Amino acid sequence: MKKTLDFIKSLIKHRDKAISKKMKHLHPYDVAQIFGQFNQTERNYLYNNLMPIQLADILSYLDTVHTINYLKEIGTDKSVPILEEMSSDDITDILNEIDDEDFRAILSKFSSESQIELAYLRKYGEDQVGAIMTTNYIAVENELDVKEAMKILIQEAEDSETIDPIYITDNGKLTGMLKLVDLIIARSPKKIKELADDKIVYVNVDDNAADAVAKMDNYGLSVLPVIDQEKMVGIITIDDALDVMEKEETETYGQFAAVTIDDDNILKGTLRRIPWLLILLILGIFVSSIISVYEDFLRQVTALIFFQTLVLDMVGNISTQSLAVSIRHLVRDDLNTGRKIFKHLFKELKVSFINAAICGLMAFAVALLMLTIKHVDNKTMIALVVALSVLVSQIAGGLLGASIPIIFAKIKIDPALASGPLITTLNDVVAVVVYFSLAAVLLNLV
Amino acid sequence: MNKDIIKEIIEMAEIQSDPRIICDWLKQYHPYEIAEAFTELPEDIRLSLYQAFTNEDLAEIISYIEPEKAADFFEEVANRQIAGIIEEMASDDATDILNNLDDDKRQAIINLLDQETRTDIENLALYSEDDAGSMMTTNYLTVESGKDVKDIMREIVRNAPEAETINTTFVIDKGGKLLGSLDLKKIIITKSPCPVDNIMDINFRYGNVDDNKEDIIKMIQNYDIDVLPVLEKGILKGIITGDDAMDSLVEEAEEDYARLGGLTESEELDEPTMISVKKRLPWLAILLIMNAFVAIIISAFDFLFTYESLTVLVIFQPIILNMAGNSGTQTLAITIQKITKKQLDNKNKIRKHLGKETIHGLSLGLTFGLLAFFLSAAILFLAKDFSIPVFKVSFIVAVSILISLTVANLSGALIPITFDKMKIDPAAASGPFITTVIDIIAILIYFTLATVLIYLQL
Repeated sequence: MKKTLDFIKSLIKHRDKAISKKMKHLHPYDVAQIFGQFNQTERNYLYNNLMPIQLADILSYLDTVHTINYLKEIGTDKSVPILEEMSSDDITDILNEIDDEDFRAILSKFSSESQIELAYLRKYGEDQVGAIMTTNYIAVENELDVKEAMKILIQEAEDSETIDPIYITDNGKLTGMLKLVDLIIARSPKKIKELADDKIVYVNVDDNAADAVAKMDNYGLSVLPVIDQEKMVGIITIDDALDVMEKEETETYGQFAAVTIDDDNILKGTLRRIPWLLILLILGIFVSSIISVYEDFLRQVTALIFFQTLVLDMVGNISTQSLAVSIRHLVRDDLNTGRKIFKHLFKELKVSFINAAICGLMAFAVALLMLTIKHVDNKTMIALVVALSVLVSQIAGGLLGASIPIIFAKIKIDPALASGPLITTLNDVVAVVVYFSLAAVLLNLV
Repeated sequence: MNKDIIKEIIEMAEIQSDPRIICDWLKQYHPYEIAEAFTELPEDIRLSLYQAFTNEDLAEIISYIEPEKAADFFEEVANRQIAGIIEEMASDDATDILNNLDDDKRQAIINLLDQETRTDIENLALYSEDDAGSMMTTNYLTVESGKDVKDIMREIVRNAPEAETINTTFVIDKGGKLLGSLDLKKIIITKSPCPVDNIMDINFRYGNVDDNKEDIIKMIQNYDIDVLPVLEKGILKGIITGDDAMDSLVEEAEEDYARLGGLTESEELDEPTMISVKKRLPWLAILLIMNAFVAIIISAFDFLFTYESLTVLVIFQPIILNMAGNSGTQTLAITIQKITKKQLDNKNKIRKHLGKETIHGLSLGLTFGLLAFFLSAAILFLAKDFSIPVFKVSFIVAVSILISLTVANLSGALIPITFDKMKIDPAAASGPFITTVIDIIAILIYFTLATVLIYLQL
């Protein structure tokens, strides 16, 4: 990293005229990493001496906000050739972030064909396929002869993100694809449509980007074609898919703990956590009021106090496990039929039952041991209350954790949010009611 | 869509005695869809399909099935046929499945493989699971230095069916040393005669077989690499493709996620019940033991409850514990993500992160301590039990929330960082684990305050 920086700085210092050529062996990602460490003069030298494509490559590895700042330094006129070298998804990211006035100013410098394309791409929100696709792909019409297709391929190869597979269209409508190898070995005269593979997986331009990426993962594709009302409009490539995937994973992970991962600003971070804790506090008061109903039991058998936390915690724990499993299945779209949901819930019930039985036994041993040491009267019965409470409420907790996210998904609420206060509180209520009811029955409390 | 395929296959099997016809009909679907249907079919139909499909077709279908599941299917197939299928698969996929078979069966199958496949698989088996070597495939295209572009074209056409990708061809010397890489686009637009050395990219990125998997994935992501060559002492040994990186990324994320939820490993939808039990029970058992400590601590304070009016403390206990536990879990999730993304790789950043989380905890603690003070005072006042020292109890609840939230946020950040320093996977600190640690601390704070402020003054 330091080496790259020193190397470029010395080139600039010596006003090296061959800087563009000498920087060619550097990977634009590495240059992007250190780009912020150049001063204004150094940057200006780079802007003036590198080729537009080099600048385009470097800038597309930077965060969009930074890219826009640098483009402003470069100025509208000089920005256009750079933008023209970028792939369409990177341009869209940039154009989505700048304000309308700048957008129009820059747009007007493009060719009218590009103008239409960019205006089209700008329509899509960042979580839609349209925002992550690129329009640099190769499609050939199915009536063409293989020789003509090969000619188009050779002409367009340079500007295309990938040339294998080649997509086949019928008046713009996506009808199939063609492995490059098949095109190479085909002998003219032969029409493209005779070689077409019509088993084609595609997505719509307004589909959810994360779903599209999941599709690529499932089907093991490195390129996925995008259509808009049957017409082919772009492709998603694996490198863009990886970025979406990573962002999505981070989000799911954060949502499970009901938190946004990148809260760098302390005040913002605090504020973001407040609503969630506030709900928890209010629901907590509700749990407290239920316990207060049973306060008399606690006075009669103080030993019940010792184990209340154990029962509540153990229910929470088993529930969190089931919840994590269910959310994961939902995110991967594993639970797409009623049968699968039923099978999954039934399995959760079995798993919870076995684990609850084992935890119940352990809890019995722990409680009995403690009560014996403390010389508490009626120790076997109290230990039995603890054990049965763990058993019964853990089964309930496991089922709640497994089913609530599924219900949330059904009524179209983000299931990852279910992990929060609602399940915690429901678990607590179940555990408290079971615990004190069993105590009332087994210990003859009134 | 999936559901329909299954139904149709079953219906067809009932009227159609020749499974080959079902096979031909199935070929209109993508192998991934067939693979999905495969796992749901009754065993007898599946068995007849194994006979009707070619090994090449089966290899393709099976490569879309999770390795654990695929290994289960292999229990249904004769070893000789399995060997035939394995020979048609990409070497990394084959290795994954073989690793899920028991030792005897695996060895029996390996003995039946042709020499080339066996060498590939035995070589891949040498690498540890965390190494780049274990995720690479050996089905790639090479051309020797000095050859003409036309020769590459021939090589591509001949080997394309087996190659994982034809987007990149690697130029090697006689000893297998990697000299450069050739982009398919460049090959297509270059006119023969032209030696490959003139157009190859000598500035390629590469990994080494013993590089860490995560570093390799990061590299593929950062540099937008389609195909990464993997070397051992300069010799080309295999490639890792973008979709391999995607699989690994998902796998890693699933592990982290599962651990946050207190599972030892992530679970598959249709794995047997006892396997799931095994993945969940270890943490539950540990947590139960930890909770026994919580019980012991509470029982140590049993003198408090000899005063009937003080059982009221128990009522507010879940509020304090839930808030501290959940806030701690949030910090935990953030910290683990930061560690995974290498954003906490020096002392300065760690100190800054710990400081920030402590401030978070303090400000949340102040806010909610204050709120809880008024709420609990209101509740106690409404209860009209005049034996309860309303002000003092509310004060204790409030101060406990303040301190517990601060400590919870600090430990949510500190514990995974400490784990990481001790070379324990920070993701091992699960949400439930942190919650229980925080419970112990919060209860100590709560009851100690009660002892000092109420009990000792009675």
